[in-house]
Amino acid sequence: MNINELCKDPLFQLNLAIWLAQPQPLSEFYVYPLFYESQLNIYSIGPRLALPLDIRLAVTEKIDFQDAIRPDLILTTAEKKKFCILECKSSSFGPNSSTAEQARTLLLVTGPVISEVLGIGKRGENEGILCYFLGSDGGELMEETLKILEKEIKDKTKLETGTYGCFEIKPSQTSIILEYPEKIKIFLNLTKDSPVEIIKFEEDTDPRPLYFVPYDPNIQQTKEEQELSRRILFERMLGHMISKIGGADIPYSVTFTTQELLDYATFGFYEIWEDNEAKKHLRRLVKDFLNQIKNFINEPLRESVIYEPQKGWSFNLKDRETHEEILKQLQKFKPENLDLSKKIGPTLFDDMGD
Amino acid sequence: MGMDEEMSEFDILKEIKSITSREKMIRYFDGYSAERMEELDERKIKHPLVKSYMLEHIGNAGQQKKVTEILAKLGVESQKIDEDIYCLLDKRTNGDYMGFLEVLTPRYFVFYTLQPSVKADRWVKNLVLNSSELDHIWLSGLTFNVLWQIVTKISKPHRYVSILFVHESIYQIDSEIYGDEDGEDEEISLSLDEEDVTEVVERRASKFKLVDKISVIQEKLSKLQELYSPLYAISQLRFPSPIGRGGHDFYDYGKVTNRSGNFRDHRSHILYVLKIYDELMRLTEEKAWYSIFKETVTIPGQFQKLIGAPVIIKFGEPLSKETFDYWIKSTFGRINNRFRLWGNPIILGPKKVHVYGVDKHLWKPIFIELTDKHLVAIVPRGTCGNTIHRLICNIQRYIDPAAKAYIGDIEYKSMVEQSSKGVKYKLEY
Repeated sequence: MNINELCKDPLFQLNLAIWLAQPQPLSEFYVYPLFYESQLNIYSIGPRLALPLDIRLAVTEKIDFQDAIRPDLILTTAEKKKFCILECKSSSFGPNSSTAEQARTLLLVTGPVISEVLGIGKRGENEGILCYFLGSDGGELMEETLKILEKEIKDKTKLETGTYGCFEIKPSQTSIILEYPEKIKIFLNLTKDSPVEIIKFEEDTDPRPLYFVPYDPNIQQTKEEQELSRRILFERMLGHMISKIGGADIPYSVTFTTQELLDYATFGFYEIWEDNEAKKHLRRLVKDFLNQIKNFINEPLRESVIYEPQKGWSFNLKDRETHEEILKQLQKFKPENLDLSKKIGPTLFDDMGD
Repeated sequence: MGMDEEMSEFDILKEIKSITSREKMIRYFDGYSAERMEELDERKIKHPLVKSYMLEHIGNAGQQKKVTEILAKLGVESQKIDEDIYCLLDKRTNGDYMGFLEVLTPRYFVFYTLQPSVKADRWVKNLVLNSSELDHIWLSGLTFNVLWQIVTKISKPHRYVSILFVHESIYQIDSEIYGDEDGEDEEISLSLDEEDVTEVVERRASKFKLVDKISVIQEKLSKLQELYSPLYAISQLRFPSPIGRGGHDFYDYGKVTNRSGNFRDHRSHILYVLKIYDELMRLTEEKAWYSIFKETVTIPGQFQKLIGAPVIIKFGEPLSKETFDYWIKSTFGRINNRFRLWGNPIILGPKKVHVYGVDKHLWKPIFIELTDKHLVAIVPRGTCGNTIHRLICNIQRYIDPAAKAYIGDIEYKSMVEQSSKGVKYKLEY
């Protein structure tokens, strides 16, 4: 297990950030609840935000920016005066990279317009900070990039940006450490000085906590992480199917749609992802997964499982025996035995909404 | 001839056929209880004692069914004799009169019966096993410790009280007994019958009853618990009757045996404990349920919040590698297991697994991290709070009697204390 690589994984970082905001006992914490202790609450996960029209006009042709962005997480202080826009990144980037467009937009969003962007007040009533979650040793370079981008915005557009900073996630022998500069601590009123030991773990053990968000098709992951994410996604979909079939009144036909399975398995995040190629790929993945389940179910029970485009997958539980047998077989299905790095090509039904 | 054999000849049908109203039922059970008390005094019990079983309907709010419908599906007919009181007949066994059901709320009800323990226990256990919408009320050792404090406050110090402690480290290595793949489909709290524990095993198994004056136990119990952790695993507690001798024995799976001469008092004790449980359930679900809260409904995906709190159960002492391995193997390696969980463990270390699984009693999802030091659970909205209480009960009983539980940053024990303080007079039941 390469813990250094794990600390760079944006999905791990996002789940870690969510855990930091979960109520937990300080004496027996699972992930040290630094954000919760500092009275920072999750305001929103993965919201789509857009710059106000006048700002867009003011910056057009002066700087490269994005019309709409989807930061990973927004945290807010108890009285909702200050907001922290959090972005998870596998590595730092330079001012000329394509990611810099997103960073310029985020810097503008965290400026005085944040009140308007979030729709909570008049311009200037709230304060924002842009924070990046990064793996070890990416902070310094990232800080440098943000400084250059801030100067560029000010010089070219005369607009005010929000403040910014980086949280670095570092492994030590038996713990994961969170490091952050003093300016973040002061702005967010964090209760602890950096560095903070946030996860303790044992030797030869993967330190990751339970994942709230198991999968995000829009991020870059290592092959190993991608496989694990896919497995968790499959386990959660299978769990949902077993729950729904197990609790059904017999006779009954239980139907699953791709949308429902993905929404359930991702805690509702599927809905917020932009409908791009990655999301289509995910739908293909689900269909392939359901096909694998169908093939796993023994004949003649397999006939009880039917796929219909536009409708979804139906499990016809005609009697108690069918119900029990299907449940038994689903409980024996092991997503870990699937080819978790399998490439899935486009199909005729890609755009059909089931 | 044993009591149960004698009881099987006892014709309950004749006795209760004439009961046609709530008042008649209460009067009958009251008189019956007084007679049994006399027999208890003479140490010659001729008929079974009154037993009550607290049950819960675990459907989602808004999707709740009538308990009579749930029972009908199981082959049990409910004959209404008064408002919220039903006489239950088992159609599967030639219409046997099993007892009476009082519906307190759409979620909670109590089954009163005069059937012998063995028959009644098995009957209720089977109802629960065969329905994903019914469950016992689960009173964990942690809850009983708070109830015990209440007993000390409301009873005179010279009164005698009985406490049963049950802890069996079934996952300490002794796999021969549980080697049978299909041998674990019994509801766990009911499985500790005498015949189950007769084997010679080399693992910790504590089951003993303590009967003494309240003042004596009050002085010693907390010290003893610190010295010997199985004493945290209270699985049965007697509330002394304020009216006369004897009392009401509460079991961890919601059974209550009336060992007093008064049924009205027996029923009031049940109502009191149920109110605490109801409040505890409300607090647990309010705090622990995880869900995505959408602030705007018009724009999909906008401003999603995550609401909820994790459940953390911390073990007093780390489990040995063997115990941990055996716990995981026997829970997730078998379709029928004591914890009634399904999941494929994702192994993250020698003593750490993640399970994105299902509580198979309720058929609801639950995500769990298990290590040698703790269990952490994420309970998505809609999964009944009952899952959490059952989990805590089972951890105390089979893994670590001294385990501490937290819902978010609040200790479960203080949540129970808060629930008991919050019990006020309500018109509901």
